[in-house]
Amino acid sequence: MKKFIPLGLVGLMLLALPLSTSNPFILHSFIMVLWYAYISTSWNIVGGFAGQLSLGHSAFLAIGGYTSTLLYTYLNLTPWLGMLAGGTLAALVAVLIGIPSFRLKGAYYSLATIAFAEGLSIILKTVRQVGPVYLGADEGVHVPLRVDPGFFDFQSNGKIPYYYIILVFLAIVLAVSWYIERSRLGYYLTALREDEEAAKALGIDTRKVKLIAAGLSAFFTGIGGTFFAQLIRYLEPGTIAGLDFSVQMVFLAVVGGLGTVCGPFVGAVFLTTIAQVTNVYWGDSIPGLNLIIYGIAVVSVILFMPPGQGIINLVLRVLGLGPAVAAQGLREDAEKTKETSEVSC
Amino acid sequence: MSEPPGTPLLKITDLNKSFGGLTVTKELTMSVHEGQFFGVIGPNGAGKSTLFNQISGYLRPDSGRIEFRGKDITGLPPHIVCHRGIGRTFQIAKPFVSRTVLYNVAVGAFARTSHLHEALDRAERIVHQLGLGKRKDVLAKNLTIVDRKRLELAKALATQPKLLLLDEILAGLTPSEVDEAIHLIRDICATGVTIVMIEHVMRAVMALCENVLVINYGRKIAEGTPMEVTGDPEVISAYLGEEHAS
Repeated sequence: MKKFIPLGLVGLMLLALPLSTSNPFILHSFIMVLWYAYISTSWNIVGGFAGQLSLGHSAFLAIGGYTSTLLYTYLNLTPWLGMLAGGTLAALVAVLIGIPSFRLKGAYYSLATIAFAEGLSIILKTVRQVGPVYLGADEGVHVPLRVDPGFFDFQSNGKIPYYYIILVFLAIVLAVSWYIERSRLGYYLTALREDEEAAKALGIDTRKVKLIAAGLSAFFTGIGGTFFAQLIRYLEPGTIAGLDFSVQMVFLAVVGGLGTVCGPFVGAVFLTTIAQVTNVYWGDSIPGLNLIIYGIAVVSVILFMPPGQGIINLVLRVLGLGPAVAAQGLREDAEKTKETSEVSC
Repeated sequence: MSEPPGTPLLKITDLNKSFGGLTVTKELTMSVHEGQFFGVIGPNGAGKSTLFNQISGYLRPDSGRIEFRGKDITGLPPHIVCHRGIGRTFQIAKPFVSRTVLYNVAVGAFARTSHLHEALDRAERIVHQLGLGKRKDVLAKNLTIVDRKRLELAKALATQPKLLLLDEILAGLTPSEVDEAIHLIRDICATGVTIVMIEHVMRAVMALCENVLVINYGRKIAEGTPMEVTGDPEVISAYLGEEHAS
């Protein structure tokens, strides 16, 4: 029960946050933090839980964004449904790509995912027209602007609705991650990540489990693409399908805590805040300083935090939630072993 | 050697496997009956682990047939073999290091249930059965060798196997730990699990196994009770060289 108090406080804070400012730039920054947290949490399902280091997840953002935008433009289908179509298509593609690429291990798998995403990005950058559908090549596509947007247009003249939409999306993907971690799928993904051969001996169809994780992850990432399209109202292939977003998803999860439920969220808040604040204060006066600070922050976390665990434990301890089971501190483990061995002696 | 009646639990017929020019299993035929305690011994590189890998689906045999409970399981993938009722341990223990002992065992228990609490309940029982009760919340990476071996056994048992393949589960243990492990394994056998073990610790083989198969260069060179095979000249020559055989 004690756990719910700090969690509730964080939730309340997030709900009240937009009331604290009327500055659209700051509000936009808040939205982007939550969006990064959302896509990184989505990536974490396959990249963290299943340990398959995908570096091509921006492809699923692009699939989601383009699908909903084109459906909206040509069939006038509300992006709320377009987003589900885009997510489903992204999941399908992820499974199809996964069938051959999951045969590869480690760095080879990562390279295959980059190759796939770059391939898609190049196609989007060069194809201008497919039949009646205008793709705009490297200029990308615009989301049709409605003068008086209603709920079904997934558009708004102000920023606040976007904030609450992405907050709900984030809550959903966090809930799904939380559920996965406590289900058979979560146990299987962990087993597969730690030792695939041992996992097979315990009756785990590792290929199937990997494909499920990839599909789920791509589904939510695709929905993130639709949100991005609706927020920015413009999809440029070099951005939405580019390596930058792919790498960001990995970065945030690694710094926050790979394979933990809240790690990517914590990483997104931490790193994006640093990036924004340093950019606002020093971006103009000392160009480049913000990037240096960002880099130092990332390197410090990787160097000084226990390997593969990021800053999640630190944050949880500050919040009074104690270390997550997924990533207990090394020293505590050592003490625990000592205790138990003394008991048994 | 007296053959127990009825169809064998595991029946291997004319199994062949080679890697390029290297023959690792050659025309191997063996059968294991329900409730039996079966040992597989042989010098290093004789093809014992390769045999296990073929039974458990990690390697596809070139030819031959493996039957389990009267059904052909030749070439089935490992996870299906596990669901059919064959559990195995690995020569070098393969725990999921970042997780607790209980978590590790629960992964195995999920083979027979999809509910978390059922899996954890079963894992808890097995952990206690194997004397890991006090260490159930310890991360697997912090376990000692002997506890790693116990965990390896617990994971395999959690899948509720009818047949358990133990690959050198006693290697690296001290003599007193071996004695403890012998009791443990005998208890497991008493619960109705048939056991086939690869073992170099002869003391354990003599104490546990009713039947022993000796292989060398992938070929069966002797089969019988432990007393019979250790007196067999061909076995002695395989282990110690020709001049000791007579």
